[in-house]
Amino acid sequence: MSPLTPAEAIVARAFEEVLAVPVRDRDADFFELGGDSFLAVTAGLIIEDSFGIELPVDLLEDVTTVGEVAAWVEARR
Amino acid sequence: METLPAKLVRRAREAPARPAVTFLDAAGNDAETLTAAALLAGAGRFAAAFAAERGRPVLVAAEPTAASVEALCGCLLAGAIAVPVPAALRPRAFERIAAVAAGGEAVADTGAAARRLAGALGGLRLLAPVTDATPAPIPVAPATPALLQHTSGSTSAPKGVVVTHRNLEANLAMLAEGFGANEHSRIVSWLPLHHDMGLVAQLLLALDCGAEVALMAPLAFVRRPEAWLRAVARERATIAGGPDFAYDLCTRRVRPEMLEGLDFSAWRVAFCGAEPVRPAHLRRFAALLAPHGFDASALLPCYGLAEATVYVSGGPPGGGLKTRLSAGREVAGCGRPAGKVAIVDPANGAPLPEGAEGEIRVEGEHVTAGPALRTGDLGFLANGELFVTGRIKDLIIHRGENLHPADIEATILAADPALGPAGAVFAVDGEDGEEVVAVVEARRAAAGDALRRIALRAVAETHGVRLRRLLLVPPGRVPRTTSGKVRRAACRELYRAGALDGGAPAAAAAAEG
Repeated sequence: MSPLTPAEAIVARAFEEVLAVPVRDRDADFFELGGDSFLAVTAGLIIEDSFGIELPVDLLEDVTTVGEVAAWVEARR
Repeated sequence: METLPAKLVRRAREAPARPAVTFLDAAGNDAETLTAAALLAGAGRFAAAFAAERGRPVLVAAEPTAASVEALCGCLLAGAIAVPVPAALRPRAFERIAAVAAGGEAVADTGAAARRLAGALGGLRLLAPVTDATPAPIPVAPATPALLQHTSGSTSAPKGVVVTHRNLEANLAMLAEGFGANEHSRIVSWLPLHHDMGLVAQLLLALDCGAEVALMAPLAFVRRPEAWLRAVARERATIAGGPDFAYDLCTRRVRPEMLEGLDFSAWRVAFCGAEPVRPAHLRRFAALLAPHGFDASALLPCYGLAEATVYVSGGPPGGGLKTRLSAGREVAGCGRPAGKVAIVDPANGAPLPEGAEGEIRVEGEHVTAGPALRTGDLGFLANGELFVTGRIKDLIIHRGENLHPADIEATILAADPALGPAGAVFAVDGEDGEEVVAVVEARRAAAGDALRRIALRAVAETHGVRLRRLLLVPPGRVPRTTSGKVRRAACRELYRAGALDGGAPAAAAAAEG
């Protein structure tokens, strides 16, 4: 797998911060790594800060992997 | 001990028309109210359906609906073990819940979510409420399980925590004291009922002390946090709160003009727990609401975990946010411990003096797998208040259990005189989450296979852990600090680089169990 893009790396760091597990893969799924809807909101807020944009707070309910979240953000920057 | 089901019956008799639980719509307006009598009648209908499930788990799709709350109370009345599960689940989460609720074969038929759950898990019996049932609680022994909660932490393998009626009553009494909750309290909660804070610290606390509680859907709060604040103001709620992110979310999404005409002067306890408390978030929140009568002394950071039912420390009410500097970082005080809390040396469990940072150890009737719980969290006590500073760095989370490397290292080194002088235990990423590896020095290289078997058996018997690999190395190879302490992280890096056995670890044979 190719290295993470800069946007994917930022999302992966946000996942790592709330899940306290290493996230190195763009297919890493927030909920499969142990996330729940509580932690999803926290991760979403960290991602907002990192990119300086506003996310739908329930974004991670629909879009759950590092790659998907990064693509969502890139499409709206 | 008057158990919660006994209290439900008493309250329905003493004040049948008193509102017990109100359900709010997505805008935060009252949609439906259950009186004490209606709640007991509804719970009784479910209890009749659970008559054959005494002592057995019953899954309840946990939603802020009358059916769901009645089913949870029905489990308590019937002596069944309530297993609250998220109503909206992904396929992967279903598997986890199924593993947690091993042995559970029944689902309370509370509506569409319950039927989805039964369908997805397969082979589950749907138990529909029985009409014309007379509520008659079964006397329950304090040691009987009341709930099976899954841990709310961030482990990749959540485990079930069995909460007995004794745990529950003990912790609800602690919560009532810490939050100053009584029959005059009004609670407005958006917290999910499958989460210990939403279920125990809000719904069951209200039912236990006779407070009124209004529930709204978690997603409604997340989408429109102002709806929760409006409900708090309109109901003149005295107790309401959530994790740190809830306060952060409010200050990001709620604009001052959305709060016009609202009055928060009745809000006595704005608790904040379940996540590290960030003082800046609470201060911003208090500033946002200050023009509308919110008193910052209502802020009540607290600490707890599912293994202690839910609540460990917090309060007393009116204390507000108190912070201290720890290693250059501002840390919020999480109130006075309700049970016995000690700060211990993570390496050997020895008590540490006031002010020293160490592992938080909890004792009391609220500890679910008593008598004492080593939390894996770090903190210190100052002036009788608990400050939580973080997680233990080397702590291993294996199949949902907190493992202390120092404990396992001690077991290995004691297993045979030829093992030692040093050993390091650490986690590596495996297919099922963290796997445990030991690198141990051996004074005799010749008997390697026999030594490995002895050590593996000792670890399995003492800690219930199967090591992924146990690597024997010559004395001196395990990295240490200048003061002789084992450097586990450094040892793991050497192991991952294949620098300890001259080959890539992936190519080497796994340890024989």
